Amino acid sequence: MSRYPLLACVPCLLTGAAFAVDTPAVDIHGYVSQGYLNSSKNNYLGDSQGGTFDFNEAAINFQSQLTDDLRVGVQLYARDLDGVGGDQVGIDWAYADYHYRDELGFRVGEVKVARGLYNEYSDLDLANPTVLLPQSVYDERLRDFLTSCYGGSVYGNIPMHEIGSIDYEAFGGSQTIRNDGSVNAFLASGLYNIDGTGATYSTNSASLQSMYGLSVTWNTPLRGLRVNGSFIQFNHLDASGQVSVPTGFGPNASYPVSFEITKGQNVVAGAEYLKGKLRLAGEGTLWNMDTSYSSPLFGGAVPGVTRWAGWYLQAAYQILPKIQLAGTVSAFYENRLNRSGSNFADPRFGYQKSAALTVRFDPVTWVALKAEGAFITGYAQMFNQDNPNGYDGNTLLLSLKATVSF
Amino acid sequence: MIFRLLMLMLCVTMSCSAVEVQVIANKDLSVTSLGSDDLSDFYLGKRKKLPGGGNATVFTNADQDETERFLDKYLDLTPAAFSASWKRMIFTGRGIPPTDAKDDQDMIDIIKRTPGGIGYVATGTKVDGVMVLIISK
Repeated sequence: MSRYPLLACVPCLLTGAAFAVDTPAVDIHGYVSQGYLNSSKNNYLGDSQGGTFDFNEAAINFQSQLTDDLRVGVQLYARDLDGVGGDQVGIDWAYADYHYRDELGFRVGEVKVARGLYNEYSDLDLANPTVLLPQSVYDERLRDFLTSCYGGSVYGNIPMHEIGSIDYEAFGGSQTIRNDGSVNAFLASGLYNIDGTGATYSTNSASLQSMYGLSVTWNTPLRGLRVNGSFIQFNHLDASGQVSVPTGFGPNASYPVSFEITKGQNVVAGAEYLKGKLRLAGEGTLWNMDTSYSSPLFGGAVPGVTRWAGWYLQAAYQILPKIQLAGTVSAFYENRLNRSGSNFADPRFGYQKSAALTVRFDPVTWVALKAEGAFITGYAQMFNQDNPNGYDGNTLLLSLKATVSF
Repeated sequence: MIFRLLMLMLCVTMSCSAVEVQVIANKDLSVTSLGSDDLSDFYLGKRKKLPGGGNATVFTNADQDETERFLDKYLDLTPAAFSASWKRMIFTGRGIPPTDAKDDQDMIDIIKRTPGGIGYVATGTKVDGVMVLIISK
């Protein structure tokens, strides 16, 4: 989510909507979500031990159908999770959509990143049966990086007659990388206590050269069953900052650090089946990233590779008209070539596995209340800076969330 | 007497549960029948171009029971799943949700004046000025 470059477009879009045709209708929708996290051990997604309300989001959007085929819209969005986002209002998406044919449409502006079955909806609590999307595939720590990009996309739905139809979306562009966003949090975790004396890291500048991707969904002849595959590549994600090392006397010593992902790739494949009150879903993901740290602290450049993998299975069933139950199992591996984590001093740093049960209650169509309990083993997706005293055993995580929309 | 009352109640119950919905469309629509998949795609905002040309504009009914029957029969979805699907569309900028007609008569009036308009009303409702669309499996 970029903060500033497209803010200037908001009045243009709305003014355009007002003058392009005679009094076009502007459709306005929004939501506010407040969550709560409480973990028995280990801080996950914030200071969750002891409970935290630092888990909220809000959005308002404006859309107008200017002609039969041309629509414009913008969504303002703010969120906070473990300090990431800081409830600053920015643009989530803002684009013009020209629906030339069902088979071919174009979007220009800040477009959502099409990835897997649910990435585009990861902001939207109302659309998901669970409080947290399966973290093995939809990692909250990466959300601000994977939400949207400014550029454009080509999309469409191609009928395949007896064998169903194909939805596709190809996108390309770039994005503003925030100094206090996901990239910073990852680097801060990787470099936390790097010297054994409590060193901390902060980002001074970050940039992304480009990202692009393709998502293809086959809507099978069996109604409700869709199969998706998606691919994303990003190039030259660079960040620079400094590691601050306590000296024990006087001011901290400061060392410059630069970090680069020369090339990163992600694939997601999965399927969803909707039948009446039942929803089944499963997805798997693989990441490849070529990385490099450079700092006088390490005596030069340290190249590395990242080979994450993850999968999940989820079943949700509406047991009563207003109550839905969902169960999810998922696993994330820091290095898919060593899933046992035996290359770590403590193997639990090599994976994170979880089993979760969620109850969702919709008292009215515009309110969703959710409660989720998860048993988590492993620490692979926990941040070191959130756990300065180290890690301990398995984690029980209670997540609550309430969303009001209009 | 009690038996007759029970039979009457049973008949009323059967009559209520037998209320079906039918799909109606603007008379100038380029087609007289649609596949159920096409209808589903229009209602879920996945497609908007009619097979014979022009855009489809779909409407929903504020009557929740009628909408539930329509969704169950033609889209195989619960109202909650339909609502969730549109929330996804709305909050990703992928579309503007169908407008609600107040009741069957309002639905007929809206469909009459909307080129490409498609909606649904209770079976047996007088549908003067619009056509009943045949939905094939």
